[in-house]
Amino acid sequence: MARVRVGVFVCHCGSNIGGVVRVPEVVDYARELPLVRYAEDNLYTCSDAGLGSIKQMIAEHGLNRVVVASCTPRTHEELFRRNCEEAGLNRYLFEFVNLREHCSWIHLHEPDSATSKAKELVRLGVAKASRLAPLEMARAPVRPAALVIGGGVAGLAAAGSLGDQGFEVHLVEREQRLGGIAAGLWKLLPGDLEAAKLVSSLTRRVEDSERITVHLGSTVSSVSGFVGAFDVELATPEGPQTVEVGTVIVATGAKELEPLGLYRLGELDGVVTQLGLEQRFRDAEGLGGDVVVINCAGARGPEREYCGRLCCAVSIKNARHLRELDPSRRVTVLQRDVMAMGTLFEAEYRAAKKAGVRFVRYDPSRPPEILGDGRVNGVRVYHSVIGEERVLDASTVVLTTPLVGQDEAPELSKMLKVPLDGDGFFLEAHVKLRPVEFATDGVFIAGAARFPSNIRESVSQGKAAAAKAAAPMTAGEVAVEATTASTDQRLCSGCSNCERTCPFGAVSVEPDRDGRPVSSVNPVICKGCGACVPACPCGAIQQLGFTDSQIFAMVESLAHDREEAAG
Amino acid sequence: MRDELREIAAEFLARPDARCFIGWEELPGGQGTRPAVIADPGQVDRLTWTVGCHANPTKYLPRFRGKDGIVGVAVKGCDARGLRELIRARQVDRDKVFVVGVPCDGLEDEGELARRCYGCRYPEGFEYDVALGPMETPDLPERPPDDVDLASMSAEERRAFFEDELAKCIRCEACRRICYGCFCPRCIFESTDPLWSSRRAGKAEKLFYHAVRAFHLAGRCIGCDECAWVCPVGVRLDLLNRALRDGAAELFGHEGAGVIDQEPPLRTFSTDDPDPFAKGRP
Amino acid sequence: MSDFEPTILVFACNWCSYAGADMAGVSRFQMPPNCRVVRVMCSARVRPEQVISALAQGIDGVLILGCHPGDCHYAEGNYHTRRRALMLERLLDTLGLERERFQVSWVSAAEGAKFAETIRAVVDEIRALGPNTLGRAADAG
Repeated sequence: MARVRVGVFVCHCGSNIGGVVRVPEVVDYARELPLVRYAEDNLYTCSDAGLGSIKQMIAEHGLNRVVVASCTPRTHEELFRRNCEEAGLNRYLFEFVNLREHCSWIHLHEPDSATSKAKELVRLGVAKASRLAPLEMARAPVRPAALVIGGGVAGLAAAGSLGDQGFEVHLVEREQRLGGIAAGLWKLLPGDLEAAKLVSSLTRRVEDSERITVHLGSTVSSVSGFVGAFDVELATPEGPQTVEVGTVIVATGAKELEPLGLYRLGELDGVVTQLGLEQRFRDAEGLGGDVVVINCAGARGPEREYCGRLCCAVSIKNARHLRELDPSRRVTVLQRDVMAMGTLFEAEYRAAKKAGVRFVRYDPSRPPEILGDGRVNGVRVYHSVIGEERVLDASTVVLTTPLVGQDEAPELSKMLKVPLDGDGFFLEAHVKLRPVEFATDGVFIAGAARFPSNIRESVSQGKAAAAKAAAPMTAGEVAVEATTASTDQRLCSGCSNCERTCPFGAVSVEPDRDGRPVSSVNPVICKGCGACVPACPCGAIQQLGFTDSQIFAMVESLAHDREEAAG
Repeated sequence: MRDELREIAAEFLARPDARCFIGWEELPGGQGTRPAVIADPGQVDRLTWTVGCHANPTKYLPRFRGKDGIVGVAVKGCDARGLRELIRARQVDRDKVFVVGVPCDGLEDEGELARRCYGCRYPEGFEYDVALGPMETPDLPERPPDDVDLASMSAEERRAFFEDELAKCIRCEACRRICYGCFCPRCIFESTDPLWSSRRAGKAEKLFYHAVRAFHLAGRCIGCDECAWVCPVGVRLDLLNRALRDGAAELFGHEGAGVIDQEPPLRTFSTDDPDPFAKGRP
Repeated sequence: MSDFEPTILVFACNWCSYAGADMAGVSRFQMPPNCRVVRVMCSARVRPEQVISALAQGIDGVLILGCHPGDCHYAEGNYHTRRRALMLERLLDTLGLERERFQVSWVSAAEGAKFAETIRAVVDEIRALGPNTLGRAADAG
């Protein structure tokens, strides 16, 4: 093994660091640290000049560990690691020290302390770097097949896209027909498209594809494996069936809230939800005379704080339809706020008003009261703008309720090891930057399973998820960050603390050749959190790149060398 | 009881798959007892059972892991608690031990009830292969009278107390060698990379050693007090380990190592664990 | 000791608290220069042995920062951190060591202000405790 030779590159970052920290002093200090064979300062280490200098000095001085002291690793770590790789150095022999966000920027008026601190941070970084070992990223093959769970519009869009791209797709739908909620709708905005036609165009694309297998009346009963190699057991009408896929898309949608008892739903005839109303439109019967629509029923309140996002548009559309079907019918929408967003829905709102739909504002502290016995006949509402109570005749009351998470979501979340949010919807990896992925590799999310979304959004997300899923399947393999856990089995007692601690099931304790139970880590499933390490009293399991040895060296350096950093 | 134990051991050792039987024997000169590992059925009369049989025979079971044959072992209630945890930690294969329950209703130390036996709790629902009597928690008082009560001391007083205690420590590490719960193939105190703690008997090193060992044992200590018994200079290690045992009970509702079938507290968590760290969150 | 300034070791998790510290920096919240941040991927990586070692060797304070329970990037990591920290507090308390030298706080990636407040508060608290008298210097014989 080559003897450790550390190179330290301290960045001025223009004047961001150099304007507070006396960078040349830090460089001089670094040069005297154990195992440091070279140190320099750069104006911008991340610039071509800086990166080039690092590569040049690695060659000239035979450096085999690189420490860059500049900004936050959360921006440029990947850049510097790749730079090291280009110079022929393993990318994990690189350590980042933060002198900007954690030093110069927070001690703007204390240059002496900031400089002392910078020296010490560099010293700790060198202590760790000198104990880094080269690591290889594990690579896992990815099967060119996807599982799409849910045959609603999001799932259909995803499956269709993937099929077009040449991947095998298994589409699993628990009902006996495809289309999800959309299949139960009548007419859609804009322009009153027939829902049935839209749904059938999506289903036809899926049914016609040779690469897509549709499993109706089926559900997922278990999932094992990890990105690239998921083994999924399905419960189908023909019995259990196993499919082997490389990626999974969750498109299980949501269900309409049916709050029995709220506004006497389930108690009186004539009180229905919006989906109930859509069914009556399709059946062309049961619409009755005057209609009162109550928006935000079961939403934006103590038991469910969120807004259903698409319900206002739905209620506006359906209210207009009710007026158009019978202009003598009085249609009143009781609302708390009208969320008619963008050009499309705002135009629909105006059209509804023009068609004679009346909008009355109510306050949640005085909710409308449903009148009737056996059958609804009216609604008493406190008109909060005028400040008066009115009784409206109604032979039908339509409750506009939000979409809520599916009952099966918690079980699926455990099977796939993906999280749910506080409202029972699935939670994506990053709300802005990774909206259709889960933190769990190889699993993606689209449609109302994530939050109440309309058809346009669900279809977009389905296609987006398909595109994200296609990437690893096209590449044929995924590279996995190498800072995973690893067990030195000679030191392992087999106590299984690590196995029990791992949130991802990446650690298993199995008998070795001699029958001794010992722990081993699957580097593809391991996410590199390190939670297993403190669970091991023997120190047998370590997290590569964050070993006890490396961290201990930093703690010791901080405890014992402080006197040197003063001044 | 002693004669029955010898009979059972003799019967067991006559089996073709029996490897040895672990129990207790008298020290020469009547100075007390020590663990005994008997392989020859003719030697079973070495076995004894008295109110002085303080050692935990299960301590010696892990070294037979993976070896052929069945090992017989005599256990008091506290020993059986340790055995349950050793099985959970895969140090002992339940199918490879023959467990003989010896109903103990309190050990004695110089004619008085042994300090460790106060607050005795037997394991619940433990399956012995043979029990020489009902294996139930005896009716013993909770706390020894006139003993050090750490909980009623101030932090300063506790600090002074442990400083004095640990000043006596010579880093012989007998405490960890006798503890049933210490079974790492290479203890971290023997590690050279990282060199967690040198063997120097300095204040910082001793504090680190005892604090870390107590932490590794937290929620797994069965209160056998063997650590305090074996210490050549009489450091009250039992008080430290029991304090963390009480901590596990108070903080996490842990019933005590091996009392019921419950995960050791540091191997698991509850989303309802107390959270004094969440100050000021809206 | 009116000019004593403590040295405080801070473990911060990559996804939440380290990012929160970055956010504090970006926002230019000024803080006392006593802290040294060591990055870990998850607060659950922090071993109590590291905390005990740091305190036993004379570091004045140790702070573990992690994601708010329930929000851990690795699903459950910080629940382990929390439990281990509770037990560690109990250990320090039993030994009569100044348990305020060990602190834990939950800081998310967006909470730059909270990071700054936490640092200021911890530095003030530990400064008031005075220097940690443990460590090699404590062995007077």
